[in-house]
Amino acid sequence: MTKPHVVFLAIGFPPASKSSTYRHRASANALIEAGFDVTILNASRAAWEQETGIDESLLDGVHPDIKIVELPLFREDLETDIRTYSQERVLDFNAWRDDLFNRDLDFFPERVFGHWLPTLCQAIDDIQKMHPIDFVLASPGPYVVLGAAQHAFDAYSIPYALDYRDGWSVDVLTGEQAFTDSSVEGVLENRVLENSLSTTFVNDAIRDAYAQRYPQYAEKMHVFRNGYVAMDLDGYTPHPLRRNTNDPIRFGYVGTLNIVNDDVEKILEAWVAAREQNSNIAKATFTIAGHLAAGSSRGTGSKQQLIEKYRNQGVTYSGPVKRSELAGTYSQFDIALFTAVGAKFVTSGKVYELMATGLPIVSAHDPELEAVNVLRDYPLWAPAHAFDTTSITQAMLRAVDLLDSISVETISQSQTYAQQFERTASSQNFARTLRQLLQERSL
Amino acid sequence: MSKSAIVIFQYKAFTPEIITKLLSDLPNDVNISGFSGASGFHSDLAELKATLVSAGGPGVAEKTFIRKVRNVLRRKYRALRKKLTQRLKRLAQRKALDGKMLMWNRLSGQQTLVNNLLSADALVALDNHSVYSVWRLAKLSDQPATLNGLPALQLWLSKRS
Repeated sequence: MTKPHVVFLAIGFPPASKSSTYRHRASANALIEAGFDVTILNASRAAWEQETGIDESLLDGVHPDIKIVELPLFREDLETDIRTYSQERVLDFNAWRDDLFNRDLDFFPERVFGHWLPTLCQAIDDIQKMHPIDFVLASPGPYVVLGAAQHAFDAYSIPYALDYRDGWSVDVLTGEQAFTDSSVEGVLENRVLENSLSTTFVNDAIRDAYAQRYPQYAEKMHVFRNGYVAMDLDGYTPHPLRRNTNDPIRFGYVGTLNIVNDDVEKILEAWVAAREQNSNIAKATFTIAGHLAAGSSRGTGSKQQLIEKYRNQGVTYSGPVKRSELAGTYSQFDIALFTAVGAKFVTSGKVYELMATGLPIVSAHDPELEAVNVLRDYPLWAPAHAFDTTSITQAMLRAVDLLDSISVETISQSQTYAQQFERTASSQNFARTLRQLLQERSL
Repeated sequence: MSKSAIVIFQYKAFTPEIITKLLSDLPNDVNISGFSGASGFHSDLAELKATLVSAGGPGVAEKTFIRKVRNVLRRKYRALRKKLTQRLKRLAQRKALDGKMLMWNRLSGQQTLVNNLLSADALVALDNHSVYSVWRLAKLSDQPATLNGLPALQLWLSKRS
């Protein structure tokens, strides 16, 4: 029996070193296990090199049967070869970029990425000729992939599902409506949701907001949470179990630091205050690892400059972490810091991985962050009760107390709690559901 | 990989820590030359593998620096383009660029500034503020020019090797 052929619009699939890459990878692997023949549509390596960089080790966890098609999808604003720049660009970059992004709207109502639609649709057409498509899974952002899924439906009657992750019509950072129902985006979103077999979101808050806005499609809307992949932490050993009492405590952060500079400063000032209040933290180190910026700002961006100002306070920035280095990096930490932008609509993918380490976690973010719902029962959680310097300082002090009393048992309890968020099972469930929906539709 | 002389052309005041990290993260066999038009590089950075040239000397304002460069380019454009392109070709033929290190010079003067810039293998702007000047210099000298930071530098080096 021929396997159904799914084209998965997964911009940011490995080896792209992006936060979405882990979810895309888990979903694609699960689709293979659910009996699909999987073709991925992604931007090219050259494009990712210009944006957030690439991590070849991410491909180690990709099922060998998955076919990856790299499309020439570039962002001209991220070009680093100065000799290719126009005079308009070098004289007034912001005006040039505004004009560039406005031209995206001629193709699809999404600045920055709209001009990718013709290339994505052409890829659908080409694949359909060579290897007929039975199903499309589109995972925005960018939201232009919705246009490609709609094209597959309109041109070839190919059914599709959407793995929204975040929301388009709800601004997950502010909680505000991003566009009205009657706007170009609103009309388009209504149409793609109407034709979608299933639409998934990363948490209940976003799903509920969508169900409220589009009650007629609520039955097709589900939550598919993020999680961690146990394989990514192979070789991890909790450092607190190896640490001598007199050793300096090691605080650490891993991940894309997407909070604003003012919030980074709150955390760093809290760190300085905690050092003044606690002699153990005064001797401690704080390593920040991960992406601080994208594009040409990497390596010199303002966030990195801010962090470097605290170098004499024991703070260091160690750069992005490859998947293959993840376990080794966490194995160096005694206490992990968790922070994220946004509030009740944001969970972040990183929180699950942090819990899987079994380390005390200092939480520095809006207290209404959706991630609190999963952190609340984590045994070694030290939350800041407000996203301000004083509260974060208190959380850091609390985390040191937790470290002082840590044991094999408490770490084990914490890791056991985290196991419910291992993403393999939820991804398999997601893929099986899609397969079932497709089968039901064929009957 | 052959050694490369690269000019980091920048006038925005990046912190010494950033510049130190940027330089220390590059491969050992790459020589760097830095330019600063604003407050000048900190002298302790000269002890790194990079050799640094302060174009205007400490205290020279950014706008003044850019004006200086533009003035030099305006005056020298035609003559320099031919003369320095020939000079570059000769240097390249003799492989004189390999391992070339520009000497630390607190106040090198405009002619030296242009000569130093044009004898480098590539121009690097550390952010959008420097792009205009780098773009003009690159047009003048036919040198590779990249924006900015470590990833762009590494990408350029990997393509070159």
